[in-house]
Amino acid sequence: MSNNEQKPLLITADKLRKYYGEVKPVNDISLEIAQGQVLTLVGANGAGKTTLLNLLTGLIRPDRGEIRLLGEKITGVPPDQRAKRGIVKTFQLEHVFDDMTVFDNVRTACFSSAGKHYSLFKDIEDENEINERTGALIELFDLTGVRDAFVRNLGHGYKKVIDIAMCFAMKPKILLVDEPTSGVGEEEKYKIMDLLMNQIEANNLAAIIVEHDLHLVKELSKETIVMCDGEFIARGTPDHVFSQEKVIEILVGKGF
Amino acid sequence: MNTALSMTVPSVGRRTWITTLIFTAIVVVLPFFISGYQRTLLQKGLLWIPSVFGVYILYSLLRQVHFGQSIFIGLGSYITAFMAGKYSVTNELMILLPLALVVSIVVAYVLGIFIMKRTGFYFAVMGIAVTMVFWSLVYKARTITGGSDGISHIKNPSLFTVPLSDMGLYYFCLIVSVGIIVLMLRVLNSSFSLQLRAIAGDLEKAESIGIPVKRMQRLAFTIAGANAGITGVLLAFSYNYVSPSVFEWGYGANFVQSAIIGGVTSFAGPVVGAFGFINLEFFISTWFANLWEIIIGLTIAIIVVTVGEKGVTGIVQTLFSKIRCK
Amino acid sequence: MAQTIINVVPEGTPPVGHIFESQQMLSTFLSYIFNALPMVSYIIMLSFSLNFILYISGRVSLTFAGIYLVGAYVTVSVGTYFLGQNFSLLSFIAILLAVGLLGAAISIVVYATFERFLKTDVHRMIATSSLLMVFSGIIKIQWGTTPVTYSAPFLKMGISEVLGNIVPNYYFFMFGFSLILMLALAYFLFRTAWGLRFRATSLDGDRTMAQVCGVNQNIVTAITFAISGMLAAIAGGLYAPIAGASYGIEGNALLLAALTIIVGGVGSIGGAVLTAFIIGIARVITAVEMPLFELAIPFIIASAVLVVRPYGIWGKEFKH
Ligand SMILES: Nc1ncnc2c1ncn2[C@@H]1O[C@H](COP(=O)(O)OP(=O)(O)OP(=O)(O)O)[C@@H](O)[C@H]1O
Ligand SMILES: [Mg+2]
Repeated sequence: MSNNEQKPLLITADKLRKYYGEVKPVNDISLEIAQGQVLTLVGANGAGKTTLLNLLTGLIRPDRGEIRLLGEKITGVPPDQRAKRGIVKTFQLEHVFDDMTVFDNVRTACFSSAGKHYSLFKDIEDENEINERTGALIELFDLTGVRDAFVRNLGHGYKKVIDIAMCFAMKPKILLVDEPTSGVGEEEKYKIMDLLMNQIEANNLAAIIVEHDLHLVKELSKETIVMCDGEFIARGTPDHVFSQEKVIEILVGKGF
Repeated sequence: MNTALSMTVPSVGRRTWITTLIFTAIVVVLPFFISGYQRTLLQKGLLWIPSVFGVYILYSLLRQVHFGQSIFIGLGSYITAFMAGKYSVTNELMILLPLALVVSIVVAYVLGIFIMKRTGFYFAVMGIAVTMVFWSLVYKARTITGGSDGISHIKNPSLFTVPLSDMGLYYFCLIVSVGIIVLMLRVLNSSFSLQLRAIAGDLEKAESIGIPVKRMQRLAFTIAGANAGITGVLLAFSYNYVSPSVFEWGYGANFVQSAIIGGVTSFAGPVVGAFGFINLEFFISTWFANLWEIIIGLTIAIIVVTVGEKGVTGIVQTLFSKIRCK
Repeated sequence: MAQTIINVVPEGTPPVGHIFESQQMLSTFLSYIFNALPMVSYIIMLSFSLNFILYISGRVSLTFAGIYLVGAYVTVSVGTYFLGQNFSLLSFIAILLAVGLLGAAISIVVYATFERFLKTDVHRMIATSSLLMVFSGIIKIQWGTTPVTYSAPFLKMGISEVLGNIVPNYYFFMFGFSLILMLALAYFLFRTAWGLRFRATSLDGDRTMAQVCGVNQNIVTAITFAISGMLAAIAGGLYAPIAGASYGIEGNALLLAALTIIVGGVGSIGGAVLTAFIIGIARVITAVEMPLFELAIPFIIASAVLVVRPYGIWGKEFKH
């Protein structure tokens, strides 16, 4: 942690809370993330990981608490504006635009990132800058082979990569990655993770990565947080955290 | 609310522009070969196209059913009836068209705040509700609107102070209609419509990549409304008469039905749909006057069950691609 | 204020409204409530007719408005033919029940032969709204476009004085009848084994789980449509002695039912009843004070609710 302390804080969350009746997926969580800091987040099913990320992106409103981005309060800011300001999230389940080609999926994000929402009369093929950028991203994420395929015909692994590519198109400051490898085969898993980590490093992004595979977590992060029933119960280097008894109990005990 | 079936939106290419050109050429020369009555039918068809295009945009890009085009046609028509009929202020098209455009944009934008709050079924019924509210207001404010008698004796329009003959009005309608078609084709090929399709495809994802969902939905609704508002003016001039029936929800539904007849998987859909509906209406009501509602209702219902939203153009497309495969 | 004429009757029907003399505000307000009773029951039944299908089967269907139309016209014709001016309560109830069965039958037939094959909500909305044209076309051929009336039940039931207000007994009958229907429906849903199956397949339940547990989805949906059709037809029958039946009344039915769902939320019987009171009373008050805005008021209420609580006051957010 020490080397992160000189870097300015990117996101601070203060006593965030979200209850669904009796269920308390996020229970007064405070969190600080510096620029370029990469965290992994682990926890059993239903621990509240997705809910926490959704609170940060604004898809869900907190019952209580405050979120700041670079010192500025953004608790009430809607998700689309947060995305513009650099908080971008990938989805745990498939969330891509099924009826479009891979190229159009990524291109949509590029248009959005460039703020071109309302250019009503300009042909998309004439937007050279955007099309070039889209092409570059497609190449970067190794999607050239399926560039013009309709996303609905592609496999789950591809959809995950497309989701990530769209997030990078937004030029994020912090990337929230919700289980990038869930439902993906062993081989593809490492490919996706490599791509993701390389890009995060290359762009010097901050990131929170939710991941169930503890081997992957150990390999790729310096710092990990364990979440249980809406609270953080341990934080530190993976080796240190996973040697704690309570953590083992929670992660193994709940059939992790 | 929808288990959206996959639907591919075509892109505007050179073929589309050539087709538009051919279509324009046909409607330019056609009046010389047909009777005056047939020409009025043609004119009505031309004027319906922009409104059907509004429905088309909302349907093919956003997957929403827009029953409320009658609101804006009604607004345009009543503005014309007041200005060029009842209060005789002006019959100048260059004043009335911009006025109707501004009014429909403002009304559509404000209404959009409420009725675009939710989509699917709720958007559809709010469209019906708004048009019925307008209907009841116009129907009851007898002293201003003439109630169910409507307003007749609308003066013939003039363009840049030159009075337009019937033929002149036909060509003016043609220019406006083709102009709107060209604009709409451009809109359909813009990044705006790409993002609308993203919203229809996955609203949460669209939001999380920074697309201002609500505002873009409202803008699409406003574009549809503006189209209808403009044609409302010209429809009023074409009939010289306006009655509250322009605000009936069934009239708004007719535009949806036209879009379905034409099909929403091809740009030719709105054009085919508008002419198809009007001719169907004409022939059925001449030959089976009483059965008009039953026949048209069943036709639409059967089209929806069998080919969904593909319509006539979709069937033709499928046939063509089959022939080509062989 | 001294003389208020209450007329909740659509255009073109015979004047059956009546006159109130009242000094006190309370009495005036009570008179509004009493006069709103028919509108309230009308809204309760129609909105639930739509709501029920939406909630239990997750489908959109506008056919109920056409069935409402049929219910109104058939009640008028059958009532005039069999009873004429010789009114008897039991036979009128028998007619209503018969009309309800007819509505249920129509609803099931339309569902089984047609609506079953529609794949998305968008398709369902367009196809069933076109079916409304077919219904009104059939009505036009059979009964023409001039309004028909059958006011014997309304007139023969007499009036009573309640708290200084003169109220036609028929208003209480209509309200009571619809309330009993709703209570029966609530009993069916929450107290019987079959009701459990319905709730299991509803938006609140878990459809796949229900299927695994042996609930026959098709039968449940068919019965759902039957109940919806029955409610719509009886609504038409009950309202006909007050308002008669005229060409185009299905639009009004559709509008009020839909707006009530927007305000009350999907799947709440209590919400539907309360909303019916809000909209019914608001409508009667505007009909007296500002007749121009009679139809605008339900819409304004619905718009306000949409902005403040997009899923309705008593509604939950359902993700499909
Ligand atoms: N909209 C909602 N309404 C009610 N309960 C909810 C809602 N969303 C989430 N929950 C509950 O909150 C808890 C936490 O959910 P969340 O999705 O955040 O868990 P998670 O840690 O991401 O689990 P997983 O590993 O399965 O993705 C769960 O018990 C879930 O049932
Ligand atoms: Mg999760």
